[in-house]
Amino acid sequence: MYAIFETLEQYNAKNQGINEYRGYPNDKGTMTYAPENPQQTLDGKYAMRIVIGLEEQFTGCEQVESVEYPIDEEI
Amino acid sequence: MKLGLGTRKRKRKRREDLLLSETKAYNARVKADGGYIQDIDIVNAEIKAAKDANEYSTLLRFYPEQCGIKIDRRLGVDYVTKIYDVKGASGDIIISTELNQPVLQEDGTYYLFSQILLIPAIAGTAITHNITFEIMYKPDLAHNQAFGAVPSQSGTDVRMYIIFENTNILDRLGYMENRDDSGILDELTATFTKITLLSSYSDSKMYVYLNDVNVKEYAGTTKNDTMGFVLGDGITEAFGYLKSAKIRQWN
Repeated sequence: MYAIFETLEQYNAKNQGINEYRGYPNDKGTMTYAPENPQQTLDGKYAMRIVIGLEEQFTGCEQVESVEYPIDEEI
Repeated sequence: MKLGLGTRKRKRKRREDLLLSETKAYNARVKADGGYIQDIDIVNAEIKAAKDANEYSTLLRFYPEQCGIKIDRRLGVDYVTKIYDVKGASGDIIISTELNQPVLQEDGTYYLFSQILLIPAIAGTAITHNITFEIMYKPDLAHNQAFGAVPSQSGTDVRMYIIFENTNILDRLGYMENRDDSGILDELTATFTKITLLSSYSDSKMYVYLNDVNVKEYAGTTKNDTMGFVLGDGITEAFGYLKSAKIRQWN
């Protein structure tokens, strides 16, 4: 499952909230939950994967089963 | 009758004494950083093999099988946050984003799920990457009949495709890519010494293994580079891991 965000600011705000919830950065080498500069999806939004155990952190977010990204080149 | 007198007491060599000095130094560095080596005997054997072949000193980066890793355990699952380079800390692969961290398996391998694994840049030199990724993909044979896997080069990356007989489409399994320090893709070449197709009777799926991915930059490249394997967009059942990697100067 993925949570969908309209803007990068919304995406980063959610990422920051999860970082605080998870205690990132920690001393085990994890600095952040999701990448801070995500690629835009095919329809210009930002997707954040929802890992098992974190579902409730995404309550209220738009959620989808899969996301599509632009493919830069095909043979 | 005297028993035991004159019998030489056999002194058993400690395991530590059997390790090369390079292995000991690597082990000490990994432990001091909070990591651990999965199988030090395999690491030692790989270093010894590289030295015996007179290639150890030429390697810029060296990630042997079962090499040192750092883990972050969450909800009973071990995630790999760091892969240690035998040649020094500047080559350590750091995976600081939770969503990108491979999952460590019981057999010491770790699985990647649709993300890039970057090998740190080496400044100002053209390099070759002799990397063994083992990538597995499980096409759904209920809908597609897989019959081949081919590497295909498109200038800036080298892609691996699965060809589906029924749908006659090329589906991107993944690709190697090579970016300079500005994030721009550099050209490269690659060969795959082994592609294995196996069918499974247990789940009626075809497994595609790609081994020994040898990548070489074109001559003349002098930029900083990072190298990684990227699984194709939308590929949810493909996974794999960096089995080993030797990176040396291009010649």
